Amino acid sequence: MQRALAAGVLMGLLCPALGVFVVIRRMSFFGDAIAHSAFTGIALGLLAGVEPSRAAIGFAILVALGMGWLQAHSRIPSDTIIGVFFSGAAAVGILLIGLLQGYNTNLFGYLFGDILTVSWADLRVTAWLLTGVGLAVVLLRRPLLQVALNRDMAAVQGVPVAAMEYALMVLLAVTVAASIKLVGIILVTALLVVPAAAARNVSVSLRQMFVLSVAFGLLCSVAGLLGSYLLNTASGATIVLACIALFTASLVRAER
Amino acid sequence: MAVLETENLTVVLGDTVILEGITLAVEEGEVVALIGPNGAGKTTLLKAVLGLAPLRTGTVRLFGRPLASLGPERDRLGYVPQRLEVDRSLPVTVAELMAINTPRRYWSRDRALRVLAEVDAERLFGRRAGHLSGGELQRVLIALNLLRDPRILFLDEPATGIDREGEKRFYEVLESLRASRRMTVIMVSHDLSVVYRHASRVLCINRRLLCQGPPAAILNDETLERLYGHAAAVYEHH
Repeated sequence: MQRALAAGVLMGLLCPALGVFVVIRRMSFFGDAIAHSAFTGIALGLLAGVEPSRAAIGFAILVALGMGWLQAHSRIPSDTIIGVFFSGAAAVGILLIGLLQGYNTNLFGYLFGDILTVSWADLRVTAWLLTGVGLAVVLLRRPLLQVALNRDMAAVQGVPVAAMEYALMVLLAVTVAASIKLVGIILVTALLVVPAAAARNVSVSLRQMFVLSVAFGLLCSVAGLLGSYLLNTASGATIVLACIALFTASLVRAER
Repeated sequence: MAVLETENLTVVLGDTVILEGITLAVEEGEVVALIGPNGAGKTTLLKAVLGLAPLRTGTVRLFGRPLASLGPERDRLGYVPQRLEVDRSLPVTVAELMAINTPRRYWSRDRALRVLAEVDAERLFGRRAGHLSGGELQRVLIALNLLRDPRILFLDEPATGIDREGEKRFYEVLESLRASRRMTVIMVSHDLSVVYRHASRVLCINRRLLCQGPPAAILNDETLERLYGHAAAVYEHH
């Protein structure tokens, strides 16, 4: 439980911080596609004898960059590109499951998340990855926000817009892939999007949105984990339901 | 002294030629209006000059140098887009909008309040950007650029979506800024009465540079008919 709580705190802090950019840029669907490609990466890793988490991160980054490149170099609408990659990644993942009969239990752990099985070694790797992502977010927050508010205004000031777009995608890919063990592929996007969306509903400034998003994420991770322990329910689903409850409360407050 | 020069500038997007062979020069202190029908390439010309649209051929020089080698002088380019890309429900304040879009070396709360006062928007400092009227937001976007003391201010249809009163106030502020700061202003505009009142020179764009000159010489039935066709050759002089 100690390891689970530590992992929950780490991801409860980082996913919602990055989630603010996801919500501002309307990239929720992008996060889903990345999560599904991470699943394919895990299956590929098991098939090729590579450590699954590393394969997931590597494959998720490749897919993120692929989607970003196509968005920048074609006239195909973004949601169509994401839809194609999303379903393509899911199809390849399902295909690979068929070739990996003996590993099905492991794969289902990744699909639905199993934070209680997180080892200290897993935790160390996740901590390094998320610390790196956290530092990058702190260092790049200004140009990332400039690009989110107006790409042209940012470019006139010399912000490398394309590089910032790719950087955000890579940060998302690493975060999603590193968080899969906690809430699973199906629900990982919720941890990115829902705390940030709840914070947006009740904030009066961007600074407050960042602070509340992280606070909400932390609160939901810890409350969800404790709840799942007490109620003997799936940890990932309980964390996400805690986020949804908070979002509903924020909605009620925002409507007043 | 020319602050902007283009030579034989051509922009092609996909298979479509958007701009062809545009050669022009803008002198310091001028207020230049780009006019032309929808899809004529006015915004693309603005973007090509600022390095936001790829050139097929031609060169652009700002302050006598290519954009890529401007160095710190790049800070002296101001740009006001038609609109922000985020929706109005985003909780970003005017102060945050200005701070995010201003390099740290130019930013201070006092400076921000001073430039907001110049555009008659000091009281908006703590307000949410999404709660401002179109005219107020455009004035804030100008103020944000003023923090870097621009030598050229590029405006892309700045009055789009603004009510008549807001538009009038916007152009009054722009006129006063131009006079006090000796800025060069280059703007895309659909409103010919605004162009007539505020521009010192008009460039008629319809893929090519069709004509240029002072508003009084350009804004006549013959030129406008050539540029827009019959239906659009209606404008008002005030």
